[in-house]
Amino acid sequence: MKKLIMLTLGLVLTFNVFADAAKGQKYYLKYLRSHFQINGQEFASQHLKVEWKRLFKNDGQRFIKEYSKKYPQSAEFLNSDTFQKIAPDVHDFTIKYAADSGELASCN
Amino acid sequence: MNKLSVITTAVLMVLSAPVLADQAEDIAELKEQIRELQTKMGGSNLKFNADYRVTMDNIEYKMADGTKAENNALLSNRLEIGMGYQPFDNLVFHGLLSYNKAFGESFTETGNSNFDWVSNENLGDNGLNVKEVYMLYLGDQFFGNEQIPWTASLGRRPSTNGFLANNREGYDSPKSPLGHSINVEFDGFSLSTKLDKVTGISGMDAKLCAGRGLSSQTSSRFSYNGTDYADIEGGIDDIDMIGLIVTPYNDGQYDIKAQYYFANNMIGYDVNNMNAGFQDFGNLQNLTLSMQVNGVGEFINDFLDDTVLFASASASQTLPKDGMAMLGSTDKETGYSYWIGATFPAFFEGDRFGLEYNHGSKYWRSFTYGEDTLIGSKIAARGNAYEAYYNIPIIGETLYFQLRYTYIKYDYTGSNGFFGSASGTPMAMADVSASDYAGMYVESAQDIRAMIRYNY
Repeated sequence: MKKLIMLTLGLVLTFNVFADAAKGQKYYLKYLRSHFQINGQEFASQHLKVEWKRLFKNDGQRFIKEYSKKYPQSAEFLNSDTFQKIAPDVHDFTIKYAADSGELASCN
Repeated sequence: MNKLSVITTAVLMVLSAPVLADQAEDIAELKEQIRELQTKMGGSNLKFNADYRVTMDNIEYKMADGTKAENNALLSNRLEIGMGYQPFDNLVFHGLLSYNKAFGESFTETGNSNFDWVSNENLGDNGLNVKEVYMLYLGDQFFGNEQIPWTASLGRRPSTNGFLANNREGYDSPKSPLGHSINVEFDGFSLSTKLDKVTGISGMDAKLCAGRGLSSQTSSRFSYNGTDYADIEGGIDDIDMIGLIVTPYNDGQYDIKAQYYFANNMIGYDVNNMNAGFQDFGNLQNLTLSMQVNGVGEFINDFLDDTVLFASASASQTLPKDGMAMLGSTDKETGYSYWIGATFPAFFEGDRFGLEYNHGSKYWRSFTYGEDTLIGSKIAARGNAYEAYYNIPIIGETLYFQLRYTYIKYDYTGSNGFFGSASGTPMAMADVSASDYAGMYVESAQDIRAMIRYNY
């Protein structure tokens, strides 16, 4: 019985690993906004979807290089393990609100 | 020979340098043109989105005398067509058209179901109505201060499914007001300022909202004496509302919001003079504090990272006009409510469970008539409401299924009434059950809903 509970808990804890734009938005606010000093929508609209895809390829190497240069104060964080953990979700967030996504600012 | 090669290469490089520079410039220019084109295709033209859903609700009311009223399978469908247009970087137009109807029937009656606050939330006819429409201006500097970006908007507000109420609906982003105290359609304006840069406090902002919830009774167009749209003497007055929504802190994980509003000339019926129609019973004010935690801890595990917890407390207070029994009392009465909930990941990619509970006291009165619950707003309950739901995406994030159970147990009557003494007076359910009128009051209600929704 104990094994079954542990197995069920294990399944619950492992079957949910996927990138998520809402989580990316949360991570942007928590970890990146203070470095970039712009809101999430402004940040995501800096590039087209295709550009974000290219920037986040290979563990986001191009993104880290470009944004470390653009915002030097963010370089240390962008090269950290924490950034690697949040990068897939931040990538999803950038795709959702990219310049060509059609998402508009709203009165929320 | 080697020297010759080096010299030749050097000469070629010198000669080709301007050509390469030109090419780089051309490529940059082309990239810019593609960017402009793609941006225009994506965002700078009128863009539509569709939110269509079909629901089946199994509804049961238990009356105070023990009898029941039921609908085993109420089938309905709702379509919302959103539109947006951003002709300039700092100007946005938003619209939302809505249709909400039972299968095989147009409900054209009745009572207050077509009241302006809820005209798109109740089942109606085949008509497409305007649910939201507003223009939004995005300012870079508030009174010359570049540290304070601001926005201003005017129109029919995005004032349903606000903060916390969005969770059960499966929407990532809440709309404008706090869902604990306001969840109705509303016409007005807002002025919002981002204060995080100037204060150094993450996510801090303040938003002033105001508007008109009801326009006073006027004479009609083409009136016999030519006084079209003039106020009718002795008729009900305008209902105006002003509110302030403050986010003292939001770092993405911890999101705290507070809201105060004041509304005047609240309407209702006098239980002793029903024929008089709507009358002005007085003013209402409310204070709400809500908090949401997006993720428990930090990178402990995926389950906790994706768990959302929330809690909210709210107090409403009546300010009755002289001699008017507002919510059945000529005295100032305070009601309170609290609401807690959690959503957490389930078994597959993107599916979630949700659990919510809220309690309201004897004189609790919220403005949540537009809440998406067919048995009446659960948040308005003067009693206890329990809810469990499961949302699962079927095809991407576009098509998903929801199963939801809502149960409301009332301690007092009048939860979803207006502000007068007829439908707003709280009577203890124990007293009502023992009276001759027990069959007129709902003691508890439940709704089991199955929904399939397309949203793109």
